[in-house]
Amino acid sequence: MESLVKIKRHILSYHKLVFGICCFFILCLSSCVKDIPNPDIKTIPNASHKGLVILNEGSYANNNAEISFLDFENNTISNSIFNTANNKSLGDVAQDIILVNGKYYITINNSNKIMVINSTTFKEIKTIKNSSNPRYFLKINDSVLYVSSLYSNSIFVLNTNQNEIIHTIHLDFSNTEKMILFNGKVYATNWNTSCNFIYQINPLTHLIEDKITLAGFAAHEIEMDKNGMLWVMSGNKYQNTNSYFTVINPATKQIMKSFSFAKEQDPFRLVFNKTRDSLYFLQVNYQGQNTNNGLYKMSIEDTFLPNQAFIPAQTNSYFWALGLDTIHNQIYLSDPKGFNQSSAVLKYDLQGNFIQSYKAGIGANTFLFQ
Amino acid sequence: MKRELTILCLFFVQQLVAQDTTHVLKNAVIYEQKKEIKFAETQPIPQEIIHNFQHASLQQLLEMHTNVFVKNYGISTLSTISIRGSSAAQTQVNWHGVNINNATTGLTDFSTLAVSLFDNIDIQYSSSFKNSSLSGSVNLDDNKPVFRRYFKTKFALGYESLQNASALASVLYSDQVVYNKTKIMVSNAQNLYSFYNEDKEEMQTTMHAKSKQIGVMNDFAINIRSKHILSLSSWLQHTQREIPATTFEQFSAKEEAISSFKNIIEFKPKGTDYFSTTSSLATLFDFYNYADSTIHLKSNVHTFTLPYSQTVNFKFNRNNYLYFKLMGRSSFLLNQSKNDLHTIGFNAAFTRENILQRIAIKLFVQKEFSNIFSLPLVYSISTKVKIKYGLEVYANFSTNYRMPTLNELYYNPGGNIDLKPEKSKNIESGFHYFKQYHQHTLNVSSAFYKRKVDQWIAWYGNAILTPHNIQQVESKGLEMNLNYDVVLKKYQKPVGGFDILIASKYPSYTLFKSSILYAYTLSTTKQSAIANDYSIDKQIPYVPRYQFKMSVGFQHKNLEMHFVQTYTGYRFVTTDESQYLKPYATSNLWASYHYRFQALKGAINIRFNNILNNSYQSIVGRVMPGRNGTIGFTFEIP
Repeated sequence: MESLVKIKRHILSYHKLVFGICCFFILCLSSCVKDIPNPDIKTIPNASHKGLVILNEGSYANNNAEISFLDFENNTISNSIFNTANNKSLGDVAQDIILVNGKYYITINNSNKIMVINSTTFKEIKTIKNSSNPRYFLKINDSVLYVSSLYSNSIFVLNTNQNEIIHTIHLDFSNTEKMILFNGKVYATNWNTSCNFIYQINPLTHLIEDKITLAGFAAHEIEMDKNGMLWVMSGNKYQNTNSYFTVINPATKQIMKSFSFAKEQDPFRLVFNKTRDSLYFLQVNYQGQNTNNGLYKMSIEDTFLPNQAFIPAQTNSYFWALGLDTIHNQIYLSDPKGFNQSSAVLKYDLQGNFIQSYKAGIGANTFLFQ
Repeated sequence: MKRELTILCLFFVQQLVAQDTTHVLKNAVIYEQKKEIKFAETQPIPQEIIHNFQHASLQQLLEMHTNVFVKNYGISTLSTISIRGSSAAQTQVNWHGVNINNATTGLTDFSTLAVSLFDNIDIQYSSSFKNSSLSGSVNLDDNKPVFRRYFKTKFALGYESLQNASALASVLYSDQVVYNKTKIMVSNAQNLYSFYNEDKEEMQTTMHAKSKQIGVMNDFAINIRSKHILSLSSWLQHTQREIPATTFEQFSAKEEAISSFKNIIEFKPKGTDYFSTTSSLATLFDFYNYADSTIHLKSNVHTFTLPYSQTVNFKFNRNNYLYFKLMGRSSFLLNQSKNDLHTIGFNAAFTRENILQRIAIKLFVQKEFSNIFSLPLVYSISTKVKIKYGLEVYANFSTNYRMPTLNELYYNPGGNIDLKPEKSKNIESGFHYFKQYHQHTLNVSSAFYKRKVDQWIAWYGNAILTPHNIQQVESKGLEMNLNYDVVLKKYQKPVGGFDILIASKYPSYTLFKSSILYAYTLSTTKQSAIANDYSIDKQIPYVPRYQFKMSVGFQHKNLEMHFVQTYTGYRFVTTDESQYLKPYATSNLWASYHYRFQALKGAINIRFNNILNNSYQSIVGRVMPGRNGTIGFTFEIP
């Protein structure tokens, strides 16, 4: 009898234990942080408003390139616009954006595609596939775009009416970069460290007409000043190729002057002001240190490179996008914050005074004013 | 406690009374040693699971049966783990007690580790005095050499519905002086499956996903004059694999060739009851070759690591132990001169047991010196209290660090020679409860932890990635492991076992088995050197807050069958939680049938994975296989 009581007591204690464990589990499952994420509210911006289209390249191999829009009329920013409009991802590593005939063309580098998007609804119109790591656009006219390429020795000729690549210009080296159209000629840079010239291409025949020698190798940026001189930025620090500015007279194809950067300097992104007598460019220090890190400004008359940043980047940060709002006289920069979180778009006046910051997508790299 | 003991005694008396025949037992040798007291959460993988996963990689086993999170870069490609919200480099893989993480990356790729190569696998969920990682370790071991006359061969063949095949051969020879065990594993995988590509909005079949692997492992030991044991463990492995395109890439031509050759030589002179010592020297060669023909990229990284140690154990009396270790480790990048990392140091641990017959404490201290960093003195204090029979609680506090890897220091472009070691403070407490009553057995263990890591190393950038010491990350959470078994029916006649060494572990029962694993992990950025960092108080990428795994099954005579359900919560892709991957659940079934035919013994193992055919991604752009299955046969000839 006593043993039966003992067994009963054991069974009761066993049930209590199981009950206790169940309660503990329920408590564990219910008491913690809510798992469902709470992302920002997504909206499609009003396309008729003046504003800044921001292309966010995303973080490499994460398929999270996106479009943001900073509305100048109500000073608000909309993010993840492509995803909101199309319910899918834009792609992996967006490189450049251009507006032609009411359509945005966007190069998606690591997805090997060019996206064509309606500029009002942001709906996808077409995906142009197999375009071999497209980089930058150059508008020849409303019907023709040139597209440079990272890994092929090519510039693609894109027809914007058919939205198809209709021709390929073959070059000596891979990795064509920025291009400019001036006096009916296209001047194309090539970031290959074996290349010390730019190409002069006839956009009517798509034939290479000439090669203009530079002071340095691996050209990647090109702009024109008020005197019609071409400013070419070249170099690749990580492939031991020093950076240079080469100023060329396209008429004579002579080097007018050149500037040599120090070995540890890594300049990129070149923008001229409205009157084309001053230029802005970025220097990046990936270690996040303060030296050679920020926005730099110089006059086209200067005989030496600026040694102080006009707007220095903060410690552990660097700038990635650069744009000049010539209407409101403001400078826009982006801080990608390591490319693994939303980037900050920073607005400054022309004196370099900070005005406001906006939270954009990941890796904001290109600004398009409209 | 008296009550439990009485019941236990009654149980045995009942068994003895029931026997009416007299058996004369042969001499038996017990090789099991006194178990070391564990002051933190440890999970040994049960032998039946190891045997069922003989044709799988360790990544598949960990995904289904442990509380670690496996970050899988797709089928047959890189697989790393996170324990309690750590980064992959903060976890450690030990083989025979030696850290075998690649010196360049600090990682171990779990998709290249075949389960069949190891006899014992356990997971340590926090740092301990034998495991210097910040967050925990996976310990891979082979059975200890036993010097008696014995010869055994074992073969295993496996086939997966993804058109993957694997084979294993193992030969064990031992006598009074020599012990040698050789295992050879080969696999040829097509990794072929179809999936819906959401980016391209079409069904796709995997392309460029083949892999081949060969692994040879040899454990040799010699018993010198029946006193001293000298052992040499060698492991040669080569993996050649294609890396398939992500869902958002048009194609892929990426390939990897990963080779390693590891040796551990260990000498254990005969000790006394109060003193023992072990000398160990390892040579670890790692060769990594990566090629992407579309961008004309070829990269080779070859490293050599030389860990060595001298361990001394003192036992002062029944309850007091002292452990002292002198250790060093040198790592060299073979194709780059002057890029070396050397450390030398010592650690010591003192354990006192049976304080008031209930309490055990352990004190630990370690100091290392490096040619690059200034390394802090680290220490820990741990205690375990036996509340009553079957119920123990423990608590520990420790500090630790992780040195940057060769990649983090010297990677070109982007390496950062100015990096400092990550430093952590950890606190953990938990309990273990064991209850056996009649046919019911219940095992519950739970751990609560909090860890703060300063100078957390994170890679930032896009075109150029650079590691920075910029974050303080706090991880805290709860883990729970519950096992409940019921003997439904008992048989008098024992059934044949799978492995003669563990035959006795297969009882003649019909058992219902169940287990629940639950992990809640809150791993958030607390401080950052980036101005206006959006990641403060946000969950770090690829650490799910919730993981839940449940297994129910039965064992009936020679047949064992289990249903395993897993759930993995949201994983953030970005540090500010702005992008994430949706949760996923998988339902899986595995079964083993152990057979004996004359002298031949073995098992048939079947596994059905993802039986509901759920589409999920472990990381962005890598869709994992839908419904798939594996069948494996094992033969043993004693």
